[in-house]
Amino acid sequence: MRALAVVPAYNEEDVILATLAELSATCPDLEICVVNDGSADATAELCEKAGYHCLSLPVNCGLACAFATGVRYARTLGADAVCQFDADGQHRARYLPAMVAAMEKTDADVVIASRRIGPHPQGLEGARAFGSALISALIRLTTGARITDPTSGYRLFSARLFDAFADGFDVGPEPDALAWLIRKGAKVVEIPCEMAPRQGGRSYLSGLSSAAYMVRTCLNILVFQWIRR
Amino acid sequence: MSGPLRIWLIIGALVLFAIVCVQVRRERIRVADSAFWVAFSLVILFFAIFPQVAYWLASLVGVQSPSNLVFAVIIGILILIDLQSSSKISRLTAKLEELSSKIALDEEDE
Repeated sequence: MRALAVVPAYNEEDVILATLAELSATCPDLEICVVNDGSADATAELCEKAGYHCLSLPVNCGLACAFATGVRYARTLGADAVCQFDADGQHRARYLPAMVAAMEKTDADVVIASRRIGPHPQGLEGARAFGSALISALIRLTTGARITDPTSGYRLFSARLFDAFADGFDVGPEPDALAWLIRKGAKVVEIPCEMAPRQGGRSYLSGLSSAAYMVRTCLNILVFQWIRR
Repeated sequence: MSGPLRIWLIIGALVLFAIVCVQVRRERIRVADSAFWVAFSLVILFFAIFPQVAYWLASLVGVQSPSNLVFAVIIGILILIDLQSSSKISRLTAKLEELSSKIALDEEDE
């Protein structure tokens, strides 16, 4: 299976090279595409100098747009799957081969690396734990699917979903899109993983924006999922 | 708050919600942007179903008629969202200008 790791990066100059070095050392067959989301720092220059393939958005467009750009690139490459991989060092490259193997074995459309299953389930802290449990329950309620770690950003998507992410209106690599895809017939499989604390940079989820994130996610899963095409 | 006013507020809230649903289905509005309008229709519905809240709020701020208070609250919320929309349009315009000039310079390079 020809897999491409899409690494959206916004002002990640402190950590991006370490992340990419670990990724390419652990998965030598994997193709990597950094999508620089209009960073104001040296993220793009560092990646290019180190010889990584890097697409640069001219202005900051947000995670969904950066990911869609990576998926469009995967489509032109003819890749079989795209992995959503964080630039900040939270995602451990050693789980990626298992994700690819799980997709080959089960023919799943989405493979999620879950912190909540396996021998050492990790707890999320405070509000994040509550948010994740709520989203998990809503997905269970509306689709019947049991997703233990819906907010894990470490996911592998098969080529069957490329068009939805590249061309779909308001479709991002987020839990509400998972619920919508499941309802459209997508098969989602989880494998256990552990995640590291972020090594640098800043989460796009903080304070008010995480409240907005929860409102959008719940509204989408509970209400708009049913009326969206 | 008279009975007819409450009924019209309920009808208005439901129509607003229906319009938002149609917009989402037709891919005319993002779910993140629709959240405000869903919340707004819920606020209108809330005042229509529980007019006691409007009476209580009116006596609290010293407004004579509760229906005037409801109108004032609705106008206040709409002014805020309009201001926010203007700010968003300004930021989008700035981004568009930046994009246009970057593309122009890139084409010059080629």
